[in-house]
Amino acid sequence: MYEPFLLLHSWTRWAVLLALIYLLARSALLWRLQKPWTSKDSELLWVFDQIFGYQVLFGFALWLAGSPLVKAAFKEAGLIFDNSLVFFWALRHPLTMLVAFGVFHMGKARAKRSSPEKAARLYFLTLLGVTLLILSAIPWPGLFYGRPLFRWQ
Amino acid sequence: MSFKRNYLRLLAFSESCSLLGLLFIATLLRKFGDHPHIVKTMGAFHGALFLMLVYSLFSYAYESSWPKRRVMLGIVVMSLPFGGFWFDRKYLSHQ
Repeated sequence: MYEPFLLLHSWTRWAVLLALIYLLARSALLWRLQKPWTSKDSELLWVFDQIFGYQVLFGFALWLAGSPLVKAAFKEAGLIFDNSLVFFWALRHPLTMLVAFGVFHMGKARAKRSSPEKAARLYFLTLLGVTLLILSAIPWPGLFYGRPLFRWQ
Repeated sequence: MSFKRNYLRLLAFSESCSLLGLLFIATLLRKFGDHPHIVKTMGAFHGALFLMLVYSLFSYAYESSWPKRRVMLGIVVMSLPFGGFWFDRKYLSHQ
């Protein structure tokens, strides 16, 4: 169960990032041109919401049931702060992604309540925050906790 | 809203089929055929679909202001064989 989920979690990352970058650019453009957020944009945001939600759940399943580093942290809690590799996988990565997920939903709820003219600005700021949080917690290759960009097995 | 509902229906249908495939095809193939890894692969596929369905169901239920009991019923029923078909027929097919 662990390997297929890891593969899925690794590839879904690209769908999340692509959708996020598109929506970030779209909201920046609408804000700059002083144009309202349309229902079509909301549909695209819904697509991103779904992919991001799936990614968080896949990650949660890996964290809870599979990851050997997290298992080690569950066995010996002190390892989280003694070993930086365990700290990243057991705490920093999941916590940052959960915060990003929370920021996205709070920003979305606020933007929904605002007028369509103000919504683009709110969506842009929210998505910018989400992008920065996600980028800061992805295990980029080259870092000591890095993982390959494209996982094949 | 209808494309969201149709997407949820598609997901419920796929998840139900994957559960039936896991229970009635994969387990038989493992027992009687030479496919030791099929349950593991099908299990992961079904697990991923179930998680996707749970998220999409919560998201749709929140937007449609569904009662909490219906959401909980959906989660329980969809983890049972044929439950997804029943839930789709009762709550999703005619709204």
